[in-house]
Amino acid sequence: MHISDGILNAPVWIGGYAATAALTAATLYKVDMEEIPKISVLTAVFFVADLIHVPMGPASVHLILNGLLGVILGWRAFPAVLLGVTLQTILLGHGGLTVIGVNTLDLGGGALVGFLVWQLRHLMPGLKNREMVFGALAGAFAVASSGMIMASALLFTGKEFLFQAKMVLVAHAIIMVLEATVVGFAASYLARVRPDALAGQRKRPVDLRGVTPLLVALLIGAALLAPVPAHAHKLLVDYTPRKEGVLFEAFFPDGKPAQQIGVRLLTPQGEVIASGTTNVHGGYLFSIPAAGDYAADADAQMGHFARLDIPASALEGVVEYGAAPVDEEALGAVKVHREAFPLARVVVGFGILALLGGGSWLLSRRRKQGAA
Amino acid sequence: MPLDIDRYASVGSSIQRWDPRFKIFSLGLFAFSVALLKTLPVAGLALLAAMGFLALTGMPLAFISGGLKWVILFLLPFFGILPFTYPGEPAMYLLGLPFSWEGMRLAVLIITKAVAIVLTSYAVFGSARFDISMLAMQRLKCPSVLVQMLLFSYRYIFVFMEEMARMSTAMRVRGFVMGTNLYTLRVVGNFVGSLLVRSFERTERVYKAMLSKGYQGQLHTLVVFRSRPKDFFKAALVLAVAVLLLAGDFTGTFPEARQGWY
Repeated sequence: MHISDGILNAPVWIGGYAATAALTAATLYKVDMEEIPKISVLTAVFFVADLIHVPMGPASVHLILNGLLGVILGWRAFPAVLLGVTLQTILLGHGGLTVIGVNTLDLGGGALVGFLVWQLRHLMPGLKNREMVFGALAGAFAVASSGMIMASALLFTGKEFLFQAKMVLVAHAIIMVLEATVVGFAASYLARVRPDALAGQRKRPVDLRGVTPLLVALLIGAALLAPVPAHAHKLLVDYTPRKEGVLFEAFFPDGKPAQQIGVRLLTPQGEVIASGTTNVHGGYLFSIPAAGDYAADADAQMGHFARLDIPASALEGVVEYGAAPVDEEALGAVKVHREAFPLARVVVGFGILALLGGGSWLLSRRRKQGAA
Repeated sequence: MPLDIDRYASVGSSIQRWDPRFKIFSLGLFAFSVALLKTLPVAGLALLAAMGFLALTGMPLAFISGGLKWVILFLLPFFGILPFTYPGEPAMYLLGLPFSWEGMRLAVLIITKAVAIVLTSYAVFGSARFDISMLAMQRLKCPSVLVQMLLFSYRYIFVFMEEMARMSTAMRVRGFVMGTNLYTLRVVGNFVGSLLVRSFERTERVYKAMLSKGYQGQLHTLVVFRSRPKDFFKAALVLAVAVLLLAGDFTGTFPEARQGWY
């Protein structure tokens, strides 16, 4: 999946170029003349993958194969993705000149994550068909990471792209299943036919086997936990009817108040009635002009935005309509807010991963038995 | 889908005759300044300028529309969704959905800029042989390793397409039909795998052949770039247009697309 020109704002695409340049320099470190043809071949594979369409119900989707690049090239997958994206931009018009950096970062970053997952196979030397299992996991993680990086690029540009960012994640979730299968089968094919073509097969002069999986596990843990800080930055809002009006509060899931952010009182149709900034406790007291339905929203920038409806029924009998504004300092401390850790969602996420891994493992077992 | 983007490189126009180093540098800067624009009228002017550059190269419209189709297809969802999801006060309700002009303006801005940049990149890369463009990139201090890999990959793409066509013919002859099932995915996986194995073997042969001809990690070429006063003049002209566009955008003559049409 590619982002086109003109969508992202300048800091995001310029940052994309900077990060891509740094990562390219790091991943091309000490590149050998002999490696150039192999990287070029994989670049061409990555380019052509864009043109392999696989039917998916009524529509068809094309492959990405960035996980496969990680599995075969290791760290060198990143420059291969850079070149592949450049060629796709120049020759096919997928993506755009100014977003080569961002597109490389999302697909190449995915490829690197894929390689790290692939290296984890050394943890299970006894597993039958581990190339298939870990190839599939590498393919899945590569696409998932790409989706997350792309969605973040959209969200860093502005909160108006929230819907598109969600669509990107959904699309990548669909492609993820497809890629996992194809990369799994391709990796197992190569393991049988040309095992030397796969990355991280040879024993290194310094045996990193003990350290690498640890590093990899840490990185994957970090990747899995990445939604938690993102979640921690999610903006939550609440309101309490008071005599003088409605106390509107904005806070983060860990209970920290969202201080000094813009809040607005709206009609249900979205017309602004009043606006202000929250105090040190994250609260703001709106005077309510008359009985009726209202809504309020809070905007903490960077795509963190929350809106809440305030029905007339909640205000009835509590609020004095048209009360004079109250001194903010006199408000004092407000409710203590805290949202529970999203345990259920994390468990479901792990469950899906386990199913994916277990499923491909079972499948490979069954095929083996069928052959025997 | 013009894989041979340089099909019209030999048309003799002022863009084709332009020294590729100056062309890539100045039109590249032009494309990046278009990406920075925030106001609609200036973006429209940028689109006109890009169309002007492309018209100079004399490429037929049918050739360009192939690549443009993808850009439009990808951007269409933004056009359809942004006006309805833009946070803020909706101007009206269409079929019960809040429609906002801010979202509409942002979508128009995005599409105008994207098309302008794509047309510019056609003018840059369609007007010289691909290998010459790449060599020019190398002269512009693009790392030699990357340029070499780009050239190899470009060559391999065509080899791959042929190989793929041959392999898929062979698969069809044996009665393979694509479908939404695991079997198809397994076949595609093995297809990619064997495509890779074949290519690795080919590159090994090619690499040995290159070594025996004295390859030592550097690309030698007979292409010589010569710059004349005309090349400087053209580059200055394009850069002046870019600067004017940026000036028109930043001086606040027009409101940003979020705030108004013009």
